[in-house]
Amino acid sequence: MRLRTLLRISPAVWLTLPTLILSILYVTKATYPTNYGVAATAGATSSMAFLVGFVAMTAAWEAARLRRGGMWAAPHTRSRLEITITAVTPSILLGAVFLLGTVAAASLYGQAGLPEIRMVVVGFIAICAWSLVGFLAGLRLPMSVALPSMLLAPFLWFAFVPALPVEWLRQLSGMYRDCCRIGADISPAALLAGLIMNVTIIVVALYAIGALRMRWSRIVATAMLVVGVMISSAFAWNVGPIPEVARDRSALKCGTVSEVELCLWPEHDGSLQVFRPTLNKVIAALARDGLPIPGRWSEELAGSSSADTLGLDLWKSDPDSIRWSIAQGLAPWPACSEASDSAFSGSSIDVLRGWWFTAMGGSEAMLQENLGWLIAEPSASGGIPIKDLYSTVGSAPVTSRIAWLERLTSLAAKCQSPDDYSVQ
Amino acid sequence: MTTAFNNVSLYRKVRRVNLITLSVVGSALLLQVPASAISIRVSPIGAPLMIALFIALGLPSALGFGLSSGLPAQESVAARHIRRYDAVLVASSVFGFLALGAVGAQVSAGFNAADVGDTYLIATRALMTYLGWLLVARFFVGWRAASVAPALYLLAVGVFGFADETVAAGWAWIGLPVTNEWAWSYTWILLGLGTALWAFRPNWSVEVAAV
Repeated sequence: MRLRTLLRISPAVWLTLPTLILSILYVTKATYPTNYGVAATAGATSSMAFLVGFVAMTAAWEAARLRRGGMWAAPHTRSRLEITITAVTPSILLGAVFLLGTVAAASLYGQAGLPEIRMVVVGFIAICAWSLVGFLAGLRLPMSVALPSMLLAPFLWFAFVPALPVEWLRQLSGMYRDCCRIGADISPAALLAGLIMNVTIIVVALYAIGALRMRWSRIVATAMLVVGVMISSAFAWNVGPIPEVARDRSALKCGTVSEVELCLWPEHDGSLQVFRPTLNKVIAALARDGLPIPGRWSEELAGSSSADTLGLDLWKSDPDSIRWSIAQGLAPWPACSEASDSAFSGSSIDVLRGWWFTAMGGSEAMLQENLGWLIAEPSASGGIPIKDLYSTVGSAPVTSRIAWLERLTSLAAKCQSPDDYSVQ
Repeated sequence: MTTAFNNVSLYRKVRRVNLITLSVVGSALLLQVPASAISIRVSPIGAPLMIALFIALGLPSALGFGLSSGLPAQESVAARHIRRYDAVLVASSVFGFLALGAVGAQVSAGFNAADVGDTYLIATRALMTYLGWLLVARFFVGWRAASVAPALYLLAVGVFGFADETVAAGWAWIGLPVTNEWAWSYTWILLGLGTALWAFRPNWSVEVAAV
C-alpha cells in the first residue's frame, strides 16, 4: 500500500500523533525512582493500559472495512496471513511509536539513561497480540460492537486485572508498571510469563482469523492455548504482586562517612547527582550529634540487609525527599502493625519520622506536606504541639535526647503509643 | 394488535430489538450484583471507576448496533415513519432500563427503603451520559462509528479524569458522587444536545449522504 493511501484511509495513522502526545503526558505523571532505567521503562509500560485499546480498535476498524467490502471473503492470490499482516501493520506501528515514545519520554523525564530493552520487547509483543485480537473482533463482530469493545477490553485486561486480589494474573499481561525499586531488577519469570502468554494469544488469534492453516490446526491451536496459559501461569505463580528480584549486590558502590558505610547503586552515584553529597552531610550531622544510627546505610533491598543496616529507598533526587526517605527508613512500620487485629494508629511512627527529618535539617514545607495533620492536631503527640516538642527534644542534653528516642522507638516496635511524649 | 405487531416485525428484526431487550434486562440484572458497586482507580491520574459504569455501557452499544443496521437509503423513502420508530425504540429501552433497574434496586434495598441506592443512580446517570455522547457522535459520523464515543469517554475518565484527592474532574462527571448536582446538569445538557441534534438531522441523512 502506498504511503499516501495509508495516510488517507488508516485510522491508526491518524491516531499516532494524538496517542503519542497523550502517552507522554501520562508518563510525566507516573511515579518511579529517578535515574533508574528499569523503573522508568516499567513506568512507561503503564501507558499500555489505555493506548493498546487504540491499537486493537484500529485493527478492528481495518478488519471491518475488509469484511464489509467483501474483500476478506473474496479469493486472493495473497495468503490470508499476508493480508492480515499487511492490514494490522499500521496498528502495530501505532503501538510501537507510542511505546517507544513513552519509554524515551520516561527515560528523559526521569533522567534514567538507557531503558530496559527486555520489557520493551515484551510490551511490543503484547501490542502485536492485541492488534490481532482486534482484527479478529473486526472480522467476527459488527463494527458498532467491535470498536467500543476493543477500545475497552485491553483497558480491562491491563488495568482492572492488576486490581484483582489474584496477584499472579497481572504478570500475564506484559505490562510491568509495579516494577521496580532501585535495589531491584525486573523478574525474569514475570517477563517469561508475559512473553509466553502474548505469543499464545498471537498464535490462537491467527488461527481464529483463518490466517494459519495447518494440518490438525484446530487441535494444535487449542493445545497451544491450554499449554501456553499453563506455562505462563506457572512462571507468574511465584512472582507475587511486584515483578522484581533483588539486584546483584556486587554492583553497589560503597564508601565510609563518619564510621558509617554508605552503599549506593551506580545510577545514584554519578558526579552530578545529589544523593551521595546529601547523605554524607546527613550522616556527618547525625553522628556529630551522637544519635544512634545504623553502621551501614545501603540501597540494597531491605530483605537482604542485616539488622544494623538502614535500607534506603530513594525515589526523588531533591535533598528534602532524600531526608524524608531516610526518616522513613529510621522509623519503619513495625511488623506487628501488619496483623489483621492490630489497632496501632501509627502516630508515634509519624512523630519519630518528623523528628528525624527535623534533626537532619529538613525543610518546614516538606514537614508540612508529609505531616501536616500531626502539626494541626497536638492531641496526636500527647497534647504537645509537635514543633514545640521537636524544639524541646533538640535542645535537651544528648543523653536525654537518646533516651527519648529509644523509648519511643521501643514502644513503636511493640505497636504501642506512649501516653507522654515529653523528654524525661 | 396482531396486525400492528406484524407491521413492525421486519423493523424489530432489522434493528435487533431482541438484542436490545436482552441488553436492557441483562444490564438491569447485573446492576443487582453487589460487585457492580466495586470502585477501582486504575490510573494515578484517573477517576475511580465503578463496575456499574461499564454495565451501563451495554445498552448504548446495543442501541448503536441496532440503529446502525438497516438500509438508510431505502428507509429514507419508506412509507412508514422509521424515524419515529427509532425514537420510540430508544426511549422505551431507556425507560425499560430505568424501570427494571429501579425495581431491582428497590428489591435489593428492601421495599420499605426510602431510596433506590447509589449504584443504580450512578448507572442511570452514566447511561444517560453515554446516550448523549452516542447521539452527538451520530450527528458527525453516523450510527456505525458513534458507539465508540461513549467508550472513549469512559476510557478518558478512567485514565485522566482525576482532579484532586477526593473527587473526579468536572468533565469526568460520571465519576462524581451521585449527590453532585452539576454532574446531573451536565448529563441533562449533553442528552438534550444529542436529542436536539438527532431531531435536527434524522438518523439516515448522514448515511444516505455518505452513500
